[in-house]
Amino acid sequence: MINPFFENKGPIKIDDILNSVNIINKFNYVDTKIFDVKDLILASNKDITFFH
Amino acid sequence: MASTTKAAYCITTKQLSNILPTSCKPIEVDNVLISTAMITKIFYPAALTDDFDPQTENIERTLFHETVKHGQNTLLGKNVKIGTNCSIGHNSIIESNVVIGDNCSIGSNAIIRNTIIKNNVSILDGCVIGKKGFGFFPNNDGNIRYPHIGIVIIEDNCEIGCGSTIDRGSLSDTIIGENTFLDNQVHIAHNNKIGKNCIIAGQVGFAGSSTLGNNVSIGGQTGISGHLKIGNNVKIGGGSGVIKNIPDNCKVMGFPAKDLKKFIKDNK
Repeated sequence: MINPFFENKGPIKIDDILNSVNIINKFNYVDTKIFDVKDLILASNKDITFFH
Repeated sequence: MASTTKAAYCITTKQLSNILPTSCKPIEVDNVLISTAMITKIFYPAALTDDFDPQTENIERTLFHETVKHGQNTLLGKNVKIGTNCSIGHNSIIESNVVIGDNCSIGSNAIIRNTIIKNNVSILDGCVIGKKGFGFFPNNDGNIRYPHIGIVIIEDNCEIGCGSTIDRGSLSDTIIGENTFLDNQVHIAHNNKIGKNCIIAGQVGFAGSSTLGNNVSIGGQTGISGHLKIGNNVKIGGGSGVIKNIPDNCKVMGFPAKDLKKFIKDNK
């Protein structure tokens, strides 16, 4: 669902994301466009998630 | 959940990365939450701040001035939707994109943003709903705020008492279930999911990300710690401190909250 309250600046390329927050791109991910940040359940194959 | 995620990439630690499915590429970091916060900020830079909505205008200048019973100085943002038979009191502000269903009553001096309100809901005077949550990561070089991109959803037939505050979620939403009543000065923090038909008395405070079942009653001034699961039909005595999960159908009281019979026996 599109969030009506906050503008999403995506899609953003994965390497640009990692570069901009100084995360080492140790697996050399490039070019894939990421559309959103979501939790493990809601994330689609176009999104990035987190697990801790 | 991690082993079945459909995500393309996952920010995680080296130790946890082998749990992910092969379709999900790991991004290994030392601090998952701080890295996630920084990446979320890139996608949603506006979610970090909570400035007032500069696009509001007096309801008198909108189409709603004829259809919504309203007080003086009622302000509405852009793209607000308000159903039939609704009222909004004096000095209340409904910010852009908020949705209010049918038969809803919004009191005076209320501020509502980032929120979807279903039908037959009463928001009493002085409530602040949809502000960013108190989510941050302590850091010796300066605490890091987490951007809150979730919303607040208030289901049908709820009542939110005077001066209550309900924060929007971080990545997920804060939800108040159908037919749940909140007394005055209740605080619901980010990501909490409150079930159906609950009764929550005055000055109860929820830390973030807890789940409350259906038909739960909570006495006044109780505190609920974060990331807990409170079952269905649970009764929590007033002034309690809940610091661990509570199964269905339990009655608890005290700090830390324990079985009600044991509490009474221990305090004879």
